[in-house]
Amino acid sequence: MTEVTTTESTEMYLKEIYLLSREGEAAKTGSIAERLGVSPPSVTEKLSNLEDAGLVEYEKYKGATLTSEGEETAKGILRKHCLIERFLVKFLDVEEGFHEEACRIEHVMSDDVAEQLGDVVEQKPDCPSCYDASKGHCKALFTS
Amino acid sequence: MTALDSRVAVPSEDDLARLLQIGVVIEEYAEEKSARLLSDEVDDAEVRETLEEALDESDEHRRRLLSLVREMGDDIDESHVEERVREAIEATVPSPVGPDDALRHQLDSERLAGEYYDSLINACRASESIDEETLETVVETLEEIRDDEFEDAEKIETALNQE
Repeated sequence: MTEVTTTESTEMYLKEIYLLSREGEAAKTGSIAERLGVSPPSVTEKLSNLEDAGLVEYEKYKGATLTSEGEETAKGILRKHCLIERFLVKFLDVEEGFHEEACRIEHVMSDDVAEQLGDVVEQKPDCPSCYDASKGHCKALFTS
Repeated sequence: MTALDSRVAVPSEDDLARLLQIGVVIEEYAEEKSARLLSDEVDDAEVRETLEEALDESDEHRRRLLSLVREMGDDIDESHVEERVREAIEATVPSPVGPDDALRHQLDSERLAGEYYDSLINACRASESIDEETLETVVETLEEIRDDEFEDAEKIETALNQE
């Protein structure tokens, strides 16, 4: 098994595969490419790397699903994303563009810091299960 | 998994300003938390002194970060932050059950802030899209603040281990 460092790009792939496959269906290469704004061949290449790293199971023409390690990593990234969105909306009164901002700055925050800041924004224990991919934020963002 | 490999960089000056604003909120939270711990039943004079010093230091750090944000042409609604942080403290920080518990709460604040600035310093150093002069000023300030936080965390840990 090849060891790869979890980079910003890897984090984005895992997050999108999680969102596309969490209902049980494999994430199609075309759907991943569309959500990340990259070409299908570059998705195929990246999926192969992620499979070598033990984070993804990829089957040509069927799509990608996360291994348990990949799913755990993806959930951690999405929790961090939700945390930053909540932080921006709640404390800094950001009304627009918080999803894009969170996507850009979530990689800067370490896992330890994100874990501790979860208490500050009263992050729910089951986060990110309530993340609404179509809206780009947690369903409870403006209600809790 | 680590989010802090050498390829993670602050993407732009706007993002840096935002990350500094988050630092302002973290300091406001630490300051309010120290104030709450002081207002409760903590009667140990040394512990109260530690909390009072921490409160003053958080206030100073918050001002320094705010100054950086303003130098970068951005700002923050201080009264909004203060109000929301106070609500969050009331909802999330329980009354300490004694001086040691108060110190442990304070230790959490110092570690959180120190680790946040450490992440940010690394991401600033990896950035190629921020003006060199701005980067130098920000990193120098963040390093001083981070070192303060870790020194205080070490003092509190020593105090807790002696008891």
